[in-house]
Amino acid sequence: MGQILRIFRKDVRHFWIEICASLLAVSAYVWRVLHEWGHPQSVMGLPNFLRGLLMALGPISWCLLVVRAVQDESLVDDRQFWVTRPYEWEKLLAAKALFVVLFVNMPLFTANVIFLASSGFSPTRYLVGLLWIQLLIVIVLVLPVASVSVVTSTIVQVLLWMLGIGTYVAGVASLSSLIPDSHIPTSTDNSDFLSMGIFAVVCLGMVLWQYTQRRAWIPRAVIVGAAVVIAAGALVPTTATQIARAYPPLAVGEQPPFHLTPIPPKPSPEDQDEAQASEKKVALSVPIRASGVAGDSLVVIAGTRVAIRTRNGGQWTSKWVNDGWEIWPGEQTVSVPLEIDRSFFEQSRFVPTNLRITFAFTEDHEMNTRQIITQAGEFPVDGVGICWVSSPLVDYRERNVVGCRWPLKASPTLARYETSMSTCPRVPHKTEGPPTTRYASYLNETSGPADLAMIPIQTSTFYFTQPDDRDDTTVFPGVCPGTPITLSTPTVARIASTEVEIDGADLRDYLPQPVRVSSQ
Amino acid sequence: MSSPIRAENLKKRFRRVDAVNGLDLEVPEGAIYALVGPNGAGKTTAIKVLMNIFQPTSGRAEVLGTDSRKIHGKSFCSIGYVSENQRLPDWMRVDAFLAYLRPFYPSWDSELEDDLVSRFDLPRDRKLKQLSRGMRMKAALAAALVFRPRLIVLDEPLGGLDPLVRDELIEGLLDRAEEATVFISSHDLAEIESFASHVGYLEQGRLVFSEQMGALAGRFRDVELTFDVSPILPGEYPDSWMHLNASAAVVRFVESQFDEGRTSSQITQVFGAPRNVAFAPMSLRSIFLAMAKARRSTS
Repeated sequence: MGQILRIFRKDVRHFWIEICASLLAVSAYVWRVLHEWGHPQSVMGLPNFLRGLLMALGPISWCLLVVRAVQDESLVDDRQFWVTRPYEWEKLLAAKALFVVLFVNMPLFTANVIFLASSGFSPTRYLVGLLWIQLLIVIVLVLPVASVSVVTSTIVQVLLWMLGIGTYVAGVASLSSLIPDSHIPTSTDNSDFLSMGIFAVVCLGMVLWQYTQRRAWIPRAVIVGAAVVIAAGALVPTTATQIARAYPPLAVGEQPPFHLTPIPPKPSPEDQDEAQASEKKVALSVPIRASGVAGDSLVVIAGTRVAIRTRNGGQWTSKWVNDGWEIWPGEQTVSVPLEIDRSFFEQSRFVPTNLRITFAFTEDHEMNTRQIITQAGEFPVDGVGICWVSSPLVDYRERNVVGCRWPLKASPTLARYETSMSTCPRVPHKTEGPPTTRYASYLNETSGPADLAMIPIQTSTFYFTQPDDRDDTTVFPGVCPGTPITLSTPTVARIASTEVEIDGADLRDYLPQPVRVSSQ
Repeated sequence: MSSPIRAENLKKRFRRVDAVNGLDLEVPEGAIYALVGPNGAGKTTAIKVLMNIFQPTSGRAEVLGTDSRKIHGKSFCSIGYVSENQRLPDWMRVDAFLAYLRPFYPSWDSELEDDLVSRFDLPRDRKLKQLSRGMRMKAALAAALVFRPRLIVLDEPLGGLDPLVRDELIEGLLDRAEEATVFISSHDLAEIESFASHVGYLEQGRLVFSEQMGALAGRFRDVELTFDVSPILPGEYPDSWMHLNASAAVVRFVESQFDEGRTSSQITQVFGAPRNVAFAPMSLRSIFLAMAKARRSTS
């Protein structure tokens, strides 16, 4: 322990300026956010880029501290005095870990606790989530920076490595965007954890290797190898087979959780596509009516794919397109977009065609259903956090929103209310629509009990579905203090795909129509 | 007598270069062993392999009875290592540097620390980066001697230093030499000669010879033969003769296996009876140069 503390004290003495600067940056950020929370109307006069800089300074200073601490006993140079001194690598590593815990983890933890407490949440109740954030900062920031630091001997070399890695990532991302891909979510929570775990183990392995062996070429080879593997993963498009495996077709006789009915398009005038005649691609949109979703369910369309077959033997299949439509109980119209080559369109425009549209979907059921009564101002909601609704005084069109502030992170949640139970005042000169149920959801989901952030508070906003409101004189009562809302947790009941077939279609009829998602 | 340093067929290869190529070495306990050799001979690499800064490609070495590949951590409580291009924590003051190292060594001698600081005239309140090269080297040596190591390893410690600093360093080193084995690599052959007890000559990664300084000095002689008329240089002569050359009536060569009776007899066999024969002892530098030139002309 003595050697650990000696090395630690030496590092503190050496890097006291960097440590003070880092603590100052974090403190300034915390103070600014708290000030803004306390005075939401004040703007503080800080330009946006300075606000961003202030937010980034903390993590940047942590990276700097990790680099400086590791490189103070450089692991790549054969001229370092410490190599021929009675340093024990375990104690050296422990001293560096202690440095990181005290000057990276502790400031983050303290900032997290301050923000939680300031938001009305007791930090002790969320200790597991706070420790999870500590684990994330180690995996996302400390270990990768330490991995680069153990194979370099100066901060300039680290910057060059970072620049190289950044350029490489940007290059791979650019290449990836050029490759036709099907961006359909096919991963699961487990695969996220697995990737993160592998990443952490590889980084940790590199650090341990260098502290025990001091042979930098192996970790450097690992970094290059990992870059190649990541590039391969990014550049290999998600294949139709992978999607088919993730969203298997319904079994014979198995009913889909919703009905999909093609809406007959309005015949187009002969010169309908003239506006885009010069384009190489022709954009079409196929209107489909979705209905029949059970009252306690939600269907999320993860992606669609359209296969076209013409009577004269032409064939064309689109890539998978991720639309993220939410199909609620009741009726909705969705427009399936597709973009086809103009040459194919020209060949097929006068020939009856067969359209086969595949919908990859996730069926969620409501679980853990509970009813809350909204209140004026902010009010606590068990299992959520602190929520608020719009004041009855605001414009009636803005009374369809409920906001919630979650400790640590927002969980996927479904919300609905009956318009008949609305406590909002009647809108003068407007006709109240028939009683109906309005739905809202918050479905963003990341792995783990918390996301990595200095502010461990997330805000979710529930926008309730807007019934077809084209009639300006009809309104549907919104959510006001006193309106009961049913909240539930979506649970995946089924992940599958289903198809809709349209025979004898004329592609010209699907040229752009100003129709998007709407409920009826 | 055990050997603080022993190497058997030690090799270190960097890509296509054999920096150390089958080094066999045995340093006697209590010796002041000087490893000499031309630039690029592999002296520094050999020392770094012994100190486990580099891993050997093959062969093995033992330092204080421990496999060189296992030399780390506490092993260095008994080894004081100083290298001319070692990177010291320049931001530290001399005082803080010594204070930082002190708890690492159970055998740290605070009285000796004061003595060395005083003898080397080290300014305790100056940062290492503010010191001259000589002063930095003295600080490094002080930090390597003050814990009374059993083995002191010095890699080119005298290079580029002024004579005064060199003398101070050597004096400081000799004071400790009674209780330690010293292994030193250096180009400064004149200085080495004044205090080394053993010498090893390294060339192209191999040890060409390794022996006691007295024995080495004893077996090398500058031989000068004076004749009445200019002699004809023979085509064949003993292998131990190096750089045989004639100038008018004088023949000179270096005898590398000097034995007065035997050498005189060989001279008589090759040249007959010269008018005068003179055997002059050689400096280490002269021996080193003779060896280097002989090997260069052979290769």
